[in-house]
Amino acid sequence: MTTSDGYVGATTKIVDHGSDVDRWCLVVVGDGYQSTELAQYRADVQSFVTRLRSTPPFGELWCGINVFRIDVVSTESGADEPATCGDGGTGSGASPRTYFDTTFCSIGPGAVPISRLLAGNSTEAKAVAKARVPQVDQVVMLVNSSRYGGSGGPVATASTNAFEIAIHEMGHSAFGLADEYGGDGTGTTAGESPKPNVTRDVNRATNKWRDLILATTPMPSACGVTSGSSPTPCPGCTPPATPPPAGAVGTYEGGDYSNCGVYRPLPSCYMRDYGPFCPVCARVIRQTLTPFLPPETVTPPALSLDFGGVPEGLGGVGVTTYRAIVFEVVSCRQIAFRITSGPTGGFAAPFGTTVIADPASSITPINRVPVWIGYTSTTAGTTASGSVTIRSDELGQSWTISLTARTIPRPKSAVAMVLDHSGSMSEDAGDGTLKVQKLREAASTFIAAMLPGDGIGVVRFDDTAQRLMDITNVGPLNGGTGRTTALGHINGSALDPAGATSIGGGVLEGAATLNASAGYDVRAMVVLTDGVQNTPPMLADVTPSITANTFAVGLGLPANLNVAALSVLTQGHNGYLLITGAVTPDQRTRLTKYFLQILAGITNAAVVVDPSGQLPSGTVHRIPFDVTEADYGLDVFVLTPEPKWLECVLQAPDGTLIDAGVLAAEGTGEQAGQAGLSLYRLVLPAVPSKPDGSHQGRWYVLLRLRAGGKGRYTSEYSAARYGGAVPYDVVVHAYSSLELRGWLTQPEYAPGTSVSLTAQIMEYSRVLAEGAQVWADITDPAGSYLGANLTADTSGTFGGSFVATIPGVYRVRLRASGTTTARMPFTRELTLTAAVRVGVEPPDVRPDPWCDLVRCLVANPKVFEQFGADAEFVKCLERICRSSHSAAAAERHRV
Amino acid sequence: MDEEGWYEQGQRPEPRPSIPATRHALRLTFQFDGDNVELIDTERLEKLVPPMIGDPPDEGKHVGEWLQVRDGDDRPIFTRLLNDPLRTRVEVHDPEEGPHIVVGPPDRGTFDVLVPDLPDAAYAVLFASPAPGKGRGRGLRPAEPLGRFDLRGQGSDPGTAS
Repeated sequence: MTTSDGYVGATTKIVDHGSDVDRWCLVVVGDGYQSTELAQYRADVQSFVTRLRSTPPFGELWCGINVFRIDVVSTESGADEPATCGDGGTGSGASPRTYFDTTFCSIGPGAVPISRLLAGNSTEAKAVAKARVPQVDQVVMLVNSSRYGGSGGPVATASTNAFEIAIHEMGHSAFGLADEYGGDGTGTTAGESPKPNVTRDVNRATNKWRDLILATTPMPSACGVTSGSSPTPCPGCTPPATPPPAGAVGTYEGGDYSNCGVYRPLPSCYMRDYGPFCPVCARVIRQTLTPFLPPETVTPPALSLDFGGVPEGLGGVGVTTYRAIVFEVVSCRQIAFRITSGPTGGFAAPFGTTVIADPASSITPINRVPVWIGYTSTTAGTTASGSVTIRSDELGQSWTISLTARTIPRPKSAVAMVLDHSGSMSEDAGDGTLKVQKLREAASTFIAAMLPGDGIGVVRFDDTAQRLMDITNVGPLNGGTGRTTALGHINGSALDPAGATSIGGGVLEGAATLNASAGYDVRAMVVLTDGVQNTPPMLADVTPSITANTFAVGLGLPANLNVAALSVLTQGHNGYLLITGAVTPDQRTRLTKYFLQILAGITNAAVVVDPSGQLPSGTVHRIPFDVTEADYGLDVFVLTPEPKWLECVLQAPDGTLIDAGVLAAEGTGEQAGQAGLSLYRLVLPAVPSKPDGSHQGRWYVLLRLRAGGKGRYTSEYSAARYGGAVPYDVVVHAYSSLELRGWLTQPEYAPGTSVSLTAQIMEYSRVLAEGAQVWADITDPAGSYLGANLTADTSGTFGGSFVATIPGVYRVRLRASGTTTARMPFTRELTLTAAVRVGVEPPDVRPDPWCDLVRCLVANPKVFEQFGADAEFVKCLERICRSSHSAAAAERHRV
Repeated sequence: MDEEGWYEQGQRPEPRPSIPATRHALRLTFQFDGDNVELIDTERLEKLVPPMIGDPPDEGKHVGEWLQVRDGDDRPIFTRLLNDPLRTRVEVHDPEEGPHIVVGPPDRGTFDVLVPDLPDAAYAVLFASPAPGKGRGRGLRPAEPLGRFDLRGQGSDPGTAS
């Protein structure tokens, strides 16, 4: 039971406000914590530090304090508790071997054992503290015991449920404060105490804290009674005729261990009963620690704030953007910044006019205090200028900041669809439909949903790549010429499966298609493939030359795809790779949803919800989704094999039902449809005359099967085809200033790889750090559900990870929910995929010059006819080339 | 606790007290056995030192314990109030009875005091009220010098009681 019963571990500076030379240094050591209990010790220390900081006036002085934690490990757990103590107390009888040998029933002066006196080897504790932190000012020892106890002296000691004892004892040892409780006079100073918070002097002209006593406060302020079983009024004290009001500093009899003749500043104080430190004690603490405070500084913001170009919204509805005027404050006191004038010129103060720098909100004295200014775009070409004046009364300063912004056209996007139509696209996707059919559905929905003014181009690739369509403005939502032309290519024979796979060739042609376009602000490429590249140019060779934002969709399993090469291609170009895995009948729209999510990424829309369902005849399904004040437009997609029979309307928060007719009448949107798709596109508020009821709040998508028809052409018949209920998927996109950004990374693709997930929620271009949670619904290749919570760091970045062990596709649905700064609930989601494969990425297949020659001869029969060669022989060679090529590809697929 | 409520009485916290402008300190370690006190270690270190608070106690008037740093002419230049450095009492925090003290006869042990390392510092003088009889603790009579220690040594050399 000595220092041989453990060891001194690490020292950690847990509160760091700068050099130990210039700060007041508090060192915490522990006793009775085994190595397995260090986590608990650290939590206990943190709790004590939090308690100290929240005890006024320490909070306002906090940036003058450094705190160190020394991990002292004991051989055994707890503290000594003698079974019987000389004062009649009892204990558990435990006698653990601990480093500082703390014990209850410590021996007081005169060899008196006291059961609640918890003390250890304070000399050793102080030596450990000085050795680790030479500038130590105060040592606190926390003892791993839930029994109440503690002690003072050189080291303030307390058990883990008696932090107030340590703080009270610090009042003595660090700040020279006297005890303010009374008693029978044992230990009381006979004359005037030099301690600052007790006195025998009730003369308001000479009392040591006279500057805190109001002229109206009677002196003495209250008289005490003698101690003992028959208390009587203290002699020599005349009670005031009218007691002073609560909280009035005066002279209240009783203190320094005597009920009579000694006075304290207030009835209650930490030095008497653990109540808040009285003003006299608080002032002493302030005076002691103030020299340790770093200088208070405020770095003013730039005197101009430029929003730059803010794009137009949809349908004439502006996009709102926030920017912050930031003050960097180094201070331990609260400093308020309030707008005293403006903002003028069409700018707004969306979060109120006063922001307070609160040192309690930061673990360092440095606070970045944002005063937010908002701007809502109008029509392209419009400029705005104004100003705002911000004042800090505490600092006595004002700043006038000029504000400027301009509205620019909505950024136009050009998209090149680079589509695989190699022979394998004729295979079954897994749900009974051909891969090429899946591609046509997904690409058609993508094109149908593109925003007017955006451009679409189409490239196909097999052995080589061919541009089917230059980048062309899609035109209006309904009947746009470019849209119609693109859909013709997608659904025409040009995409009939044939040939080998040159993904690199397709990517190069896609890039060339984009480069040939003009008048677009964003260029993006969407690559779909179902196989392994087997014809040059290879992805590794072309990826460095790509500049467009690039997304890829792998239709199939990781083992059959160039996962690594496609990941490099996409992640290096602001995109990502999504892999479908095996498409099952219940996931028939997965590819289409992937395409819609990619479209949202290109057009800066956010996925709000993405549910699926089965709708029986005669039933109404109500699918809720939340719209926030940050949303300014909506796309509501309903994907179903029976769009003709599925009727869809929207219900606004005030109950207003909104369909195509209402949107047309209000001029706020329209409906579009095609095979498998029904789409509502609207701006918010959907009903301008009801801005509150048709914008933020809980919306619903209402679905039912249309009545009517005869024979086979009824909803009942349609439902019967799907087992009694028509399947559907609802996807809601919001055009919004609130978005969920997510990233998935994995260092390798072998089973057992760790998959990291990162997410941020951006609100008006700033990280939403509070009021949100992010989690991941993960489905493994076997269809099992894995959940993962993402935890936020102090910057608002969420992180999490999971281990992927089964070969195949892990589908990760990142989901976020919470409330916006304006307290409106929201949801967002984003699907990402992780891939696991056994074996290595298939090697690139380089060209076989002999087979190339044979193909050349087949393509030019006159050449070999000149040499008398047999045409059938050459064709035979070409078949051998093709079969060997396929065999090689099949072998790679087995890797 | 609403600190602002206190200030509304028309009183603001005092401005930062004047302190010796030094970031050099002496940590003086004393060993005691009853009233016999020795300075056993003088550690020089770079450190800002908490200031004196309030008026310094007067020899012959105040009771209690304090350490005074004096210059070569024996003039006080810094005073640090001490809290029972000779350990004649312990404070007991009893959840049922509340805090109270138990006093006893002189003890033995060590204590240290942090003072500014002032260029003029020559002596440290420890004041304490004389120890009374058993069970009464110190503090019945004004404090007297209990030891006078030479600070004019170097580094961590122990001072000399004189």
